[in-house]
Amino acid sequence: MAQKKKIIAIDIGSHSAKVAVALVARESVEISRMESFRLPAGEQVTMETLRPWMEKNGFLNSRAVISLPGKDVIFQPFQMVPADPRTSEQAAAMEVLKFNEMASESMVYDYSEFSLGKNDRRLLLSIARPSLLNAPLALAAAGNIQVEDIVPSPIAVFNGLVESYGQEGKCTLYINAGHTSTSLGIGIGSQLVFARAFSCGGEVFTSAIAESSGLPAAQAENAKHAAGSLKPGTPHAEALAPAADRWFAELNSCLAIFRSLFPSDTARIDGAILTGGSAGLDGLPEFLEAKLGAGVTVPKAGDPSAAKGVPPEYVVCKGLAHSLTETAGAAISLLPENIRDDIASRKQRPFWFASAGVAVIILAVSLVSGYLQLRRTQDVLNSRQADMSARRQLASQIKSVRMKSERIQHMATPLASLLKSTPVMATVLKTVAENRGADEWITVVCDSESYFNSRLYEKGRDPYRSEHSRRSGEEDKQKRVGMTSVIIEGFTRNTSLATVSSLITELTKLEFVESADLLSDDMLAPLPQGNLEERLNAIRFAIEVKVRQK
Amino acid sequence: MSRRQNDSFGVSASRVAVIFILISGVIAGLWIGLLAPANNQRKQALANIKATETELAKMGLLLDQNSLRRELNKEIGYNSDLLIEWSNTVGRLNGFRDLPNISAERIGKIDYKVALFDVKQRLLKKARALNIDLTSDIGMDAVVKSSEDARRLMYQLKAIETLLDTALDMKIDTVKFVEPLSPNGYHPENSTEIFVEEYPVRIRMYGDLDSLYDLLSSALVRENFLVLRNLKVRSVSEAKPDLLDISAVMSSLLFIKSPETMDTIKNAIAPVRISPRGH
Repeated sequence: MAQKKKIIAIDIGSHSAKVAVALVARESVEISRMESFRLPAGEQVTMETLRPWMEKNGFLNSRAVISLPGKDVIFQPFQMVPADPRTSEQAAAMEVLKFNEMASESMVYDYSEFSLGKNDRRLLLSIARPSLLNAPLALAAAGNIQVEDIVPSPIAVFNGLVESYGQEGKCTLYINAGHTSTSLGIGIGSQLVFARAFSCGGEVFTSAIAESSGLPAAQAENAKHAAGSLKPGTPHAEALAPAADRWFAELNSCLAIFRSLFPSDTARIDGAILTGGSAGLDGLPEFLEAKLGAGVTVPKAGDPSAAKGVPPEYVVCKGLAHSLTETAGAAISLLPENIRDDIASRKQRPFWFASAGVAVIILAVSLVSGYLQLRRTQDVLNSRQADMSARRQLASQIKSVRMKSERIQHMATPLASLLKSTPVMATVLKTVAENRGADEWITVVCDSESYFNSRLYEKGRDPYRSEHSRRSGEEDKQKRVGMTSVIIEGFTRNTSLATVSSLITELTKLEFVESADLLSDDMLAPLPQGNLEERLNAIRFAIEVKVRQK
Repeated sequence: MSRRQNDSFGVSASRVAVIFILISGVIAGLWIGLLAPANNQRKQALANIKATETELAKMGLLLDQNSLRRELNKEIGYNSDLLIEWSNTVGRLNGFRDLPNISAERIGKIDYKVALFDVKQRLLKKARALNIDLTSDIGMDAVVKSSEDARRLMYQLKAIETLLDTALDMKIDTVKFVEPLSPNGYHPENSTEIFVEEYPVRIRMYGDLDSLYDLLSSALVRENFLVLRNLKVRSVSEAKPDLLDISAVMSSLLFIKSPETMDTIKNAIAPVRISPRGH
């Protein structure tokens, strides 16, 4: 179901103010009430004047669409060549620039597009000075009325009538004859192609009666409504004829412009719709019909097939309401930008609030869930960090204890080297004593250092204080720790050396012995007692027993 | 189409821009104020965990807490066993355990001279009683020069006393001469901090093989512990095959530091020298 909004359409003329209450949907308008208020003659219309009437009818604090007098608006139709690359918006803006330069101010404008054939692009520009919008806006503001739109009267007349009277391919003239001005729009089919207004209306007929009969203006106005007629033989026909000619002359000058702009046959007036307060002047439709050479229709009040039952004087109000729909014949609005922004904003506000609300909720849910997820992850990581910290501490303690153990092992290394010499020598001595043969005489058992360093046991000489040791420092001293080999020297009368070999075999069996063999002959130490071999008739031998170091 | 329709769309765009900027601001604010710090904390925590894992892996200890505790207890037990073993070893090897008074920092020259006299008299008396030919010079000079350290002399005297006492007890025939050599200091393989001092003594004596066995066996006994550094045993003559000319360098050990009092390996980079004491 289409949403309807309640709108009041305000048409303030020089003679009366008319308001129609309408329920406006997306594509339709339903007029529910119409009210008019006779304005004091010759006075500026203010809200103070209208307030009691509007308050009484509940029009204050409403949303409204207001008419702008057609004489305050410039209507400029123009045609764009088919190859024109500009958009309609750009073309309209460039056209308005010319007016801006002439007026030295930024004009308010809008346009409607129409086409009279294939590849035909035309625009109808409606241009107004911004200052001319101040009066209706100020009036609305004084009544706390929210202005939904400002529509020029000729556009409103067209929008109010085209739905009922627009015929496909027909050129129709829509006229709204007011008290002091007349608005007109010309439509081809459902397209508005021309609009204009001129300052001549029913007042010229009132003045004609007043002049001919000598009545005051107010009485002449009443006489016009009571007995005014252009039909020959009626009391005021002679007086009204020149006035009608004058009014038509104004209308005709507008039509002349139209014809100059649209010279083709399709732009020939096929019929006219006459509305407004002056439409009720007896004989005027016939007069106009005769002048135009085309049929003239005056919508009747209460006729559902004509203007949907709206009296002719409320056509503008109806057209104003129609202008808010998407099916308006000509969607032209002269509403200032700021008000238009506010209206659009008001329209979209619920959607934006809803969208923003949903976005905020989504964002909030995402952020909260993301944050909670991060917190959960952080808690897990904190727990893991604490675990890793404890493990690192335990690992450090293990490392520290291991280092202490390693230190003891490192301290034990030089001690182990020092301590092994005594059991090595004792075992070697015992093994030699037990296994030497009867033919052997063991002359020397010593460690290799003692064997090769003849000055090791020289009294008064300290090998540990030698120059070499002092230069080399502590490390060099520690290299001397421990026996590397044991030398066993002696003589044997067994020329086959079998017993010596047997002794070597026994020595090799010792656990700490790495190897045992005869020392090279050139390594033998010189004998202090001369050539003992000949004297003893024996062979000298020296066994080197290498001690396992690890 | 008219400008009215276009403009309503344009208005929406501007409103959208404002709302978008506001929401973006809120998102940015929440991100900067809430999520980014939390995310940074997460990254930092991950980096810390990774670094710790790498560190543990390098140490070969990327294990759970229970396993690490078991490993720690095992290492503590092993270390404790090593300390006990070390303590027992030091107790057995220390050649100066019965001289606590001379391990003090302050040892005067007078202390050394009195001790030298007492030791010499006692050893000569003992040698005479055992009918062993002991040289009257036990290798230690009563003259103390300004360059000499009384503490060192005292320890050298004690080392000679231990060696001669042991030799006399083993009924060595003759002590030809005895003299102290320069002390040595020993440090662990990966440190320069000295933890044990060696006081070597050179001796030449005559005796038989049994006496030598006894001497070597006795050197392994706790009370007379001596380290054999060098030994040369020679037969004196073919006519006297049992008489041996024995030359040896034997040492007493003084443990000056325990594993607990050693500096950590890391800190013990600079060599530690023992300065002369009592001078």
